[in-house]
Amino acid sequence: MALEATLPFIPFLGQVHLILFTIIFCFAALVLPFSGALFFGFITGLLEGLLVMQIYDQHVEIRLGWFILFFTLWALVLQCVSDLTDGIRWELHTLGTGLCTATFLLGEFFLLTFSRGNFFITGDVFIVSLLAAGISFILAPFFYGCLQFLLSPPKQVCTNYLAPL
Amino acid sequence: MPRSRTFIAIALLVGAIFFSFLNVSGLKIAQEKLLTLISPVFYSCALVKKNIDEITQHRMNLRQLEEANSRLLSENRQLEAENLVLRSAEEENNELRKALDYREKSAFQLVPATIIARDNSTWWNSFKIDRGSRNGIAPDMAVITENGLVGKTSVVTPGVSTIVLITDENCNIASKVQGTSDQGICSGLRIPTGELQINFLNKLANLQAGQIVYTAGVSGGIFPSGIEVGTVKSFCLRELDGQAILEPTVDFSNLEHVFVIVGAKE
Repeated sequence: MALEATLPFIPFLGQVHLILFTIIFCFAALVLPFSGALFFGFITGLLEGLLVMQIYDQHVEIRLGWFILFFTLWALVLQCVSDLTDGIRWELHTLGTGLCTATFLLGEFFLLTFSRGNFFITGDVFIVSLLAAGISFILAPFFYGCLQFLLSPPKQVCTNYLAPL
Repeated sequence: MPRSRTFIAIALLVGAIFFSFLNVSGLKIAQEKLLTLISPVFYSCALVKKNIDEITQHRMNLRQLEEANSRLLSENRQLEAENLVLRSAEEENNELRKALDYREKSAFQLVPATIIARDNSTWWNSFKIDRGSRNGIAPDMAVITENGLVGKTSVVTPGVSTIVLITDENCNIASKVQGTSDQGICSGLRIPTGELQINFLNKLANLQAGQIVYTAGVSGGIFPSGIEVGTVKSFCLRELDGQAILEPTVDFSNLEHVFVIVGAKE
């Protein structure tokens, strides 16, 4: 998340931000065991909430609990889906990343609108959210490959090994 | 679902509820601690970016460096001379203000800072700079560049400060329009387009595209008077007031260095 904040603006994307942490989050939520995945979701929500949360005049716009609940629930969903598909697949990771990013941005906007009052929604909100989710969706397989490569156990070289008859 | 899984889920739910009801001062402390903890990452990344920029953009030979140096020296001499003239004019102005029993007007004391991180959030607009309370910065101080207003400081740690940009909906600025007596409240838009809005304008205000908007500098406010905010793009009438859309003077996409106004010069 901290690394993501140091990335420069991409001129042709306008106000759309590059969101990479959801890619890592979805991968971890799929790879880790159940309790680890949920705990990872909890920590991701806590850190993301503390990093982006704005406090104005002793008023917090989006409560920290929302971030925690959101990522914990997504970790739960991804765990259940990976159980159904009998293991993790890159397609699952890619789809999960796209959906997680889109729902995260839209949820954040709705809560912000409720908090500030004057509720409205325009097409621009969906464009910004879906464009950011689309970029994460496109980048997800690349990250999946890299993370799989980094986390795969080293190949064992067996010599003079005779299998028992 | 096995009992252990249910227990973990309930424990995390309780944790989420606990963090939801944490008071504001507790959250502020947690945010400051986290920023302090991860500030080395911001610093390192900013350093790497700076080095890459230097390698790719500023590769100059000795002759070019000599030329740049002599140009900068002459510019520096010119600015020093201008500064001298302006300082004497400021002193004279203050003398005259004193004679007229006006409040003495002083130049600002500025702290230069470099942007080390841009917020990854889509709906809030903020930057992080490499200066903090160690350098005399406190929350709610105006941040400017040589072109105009940037925003205000919010969360301040010893080494890193967060700036809420004027393009954020929560950054409200009392503003006045050039050449008129029209005043309004300027802020960013909820959906980030990079533009600003100025609300509560007089319905009779007939603003034209290209007019410049400055800070009005209300007493007790954060922003001093006369700092350029933006240029009028369009003006429309609403039921109760007038609203104008502005183009900010500062180009936020290419911003690297800013100045924090920490007070008046002694």
